[in-house]
Amino acid sequence: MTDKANLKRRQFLLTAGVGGVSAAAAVVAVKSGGSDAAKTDTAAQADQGGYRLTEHVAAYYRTARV
Amino acid sequence: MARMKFICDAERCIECNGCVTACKNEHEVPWGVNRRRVVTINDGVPGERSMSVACMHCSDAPCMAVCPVDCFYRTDEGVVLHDKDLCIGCGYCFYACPFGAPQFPQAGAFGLRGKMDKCTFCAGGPEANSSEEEFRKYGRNRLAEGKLPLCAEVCSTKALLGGDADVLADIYRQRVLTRGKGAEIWGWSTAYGKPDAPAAPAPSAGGKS
Repeated sequence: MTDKANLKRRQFLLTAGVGGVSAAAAVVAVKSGGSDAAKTDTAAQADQGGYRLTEHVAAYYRTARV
Repeated sequence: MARMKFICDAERCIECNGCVTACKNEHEVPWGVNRRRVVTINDGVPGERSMSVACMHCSDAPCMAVCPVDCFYRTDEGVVLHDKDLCIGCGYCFYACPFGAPQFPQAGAFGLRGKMDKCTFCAGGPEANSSEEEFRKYGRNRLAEGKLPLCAEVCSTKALLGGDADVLADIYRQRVLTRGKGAEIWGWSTAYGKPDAPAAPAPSAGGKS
């Protein structure tokens, strides 16, 4: 009875441990994936080459208001 | 999405032609082609007015409508560009444009028309941004560099404005309010001398000069 209980507890801990490691790995993967996606978006914006309100453009607008 | 526009404040333009020179230098525009020029009305007469004129990047561009090879296209920001690989140099766009924006280099001893060339709002062409080929055909792509057209940036009196139409409209509105005049210069009555519409009241009590 005691051995069975210990076994159940070990299995539970083992399962929880494996699950935790899996979850952590998933989180890391998602984070790294998100970072890659953000980098891709930034690169895409730069590649599109359209109008952007940069500091340079904002400075021009300020001078034109004089 | 911002809408790119030019506007020239005729009250400020002093006909220095700095915009014309800057454009030619920045894009290495060939001889015989002026993407931008300054037009003066009543030159030499008191009250003369000058305006810097180039492609106005029309919302309903006549050049796009008449082009037989459909070489024009409009970017997301409303900039009208064209593909020189498709252009056949027929000159239809030159006749259709009310601003005389399309230019044709004198290619050869007999004045043959080459590929059309015009203001690109410093946005290049269909080639890869800031590539050597794009520069050779269309000039520098300043929008891709996070900048605005050089003609507007170098204007010493900030008469020529270029950029986001909403911002420019707000800047011009502030100028009109400061001067106490200017809004009434627009419209059919002024352009065609037909007093068919009552003159708009001045925004402030300031005297008109």
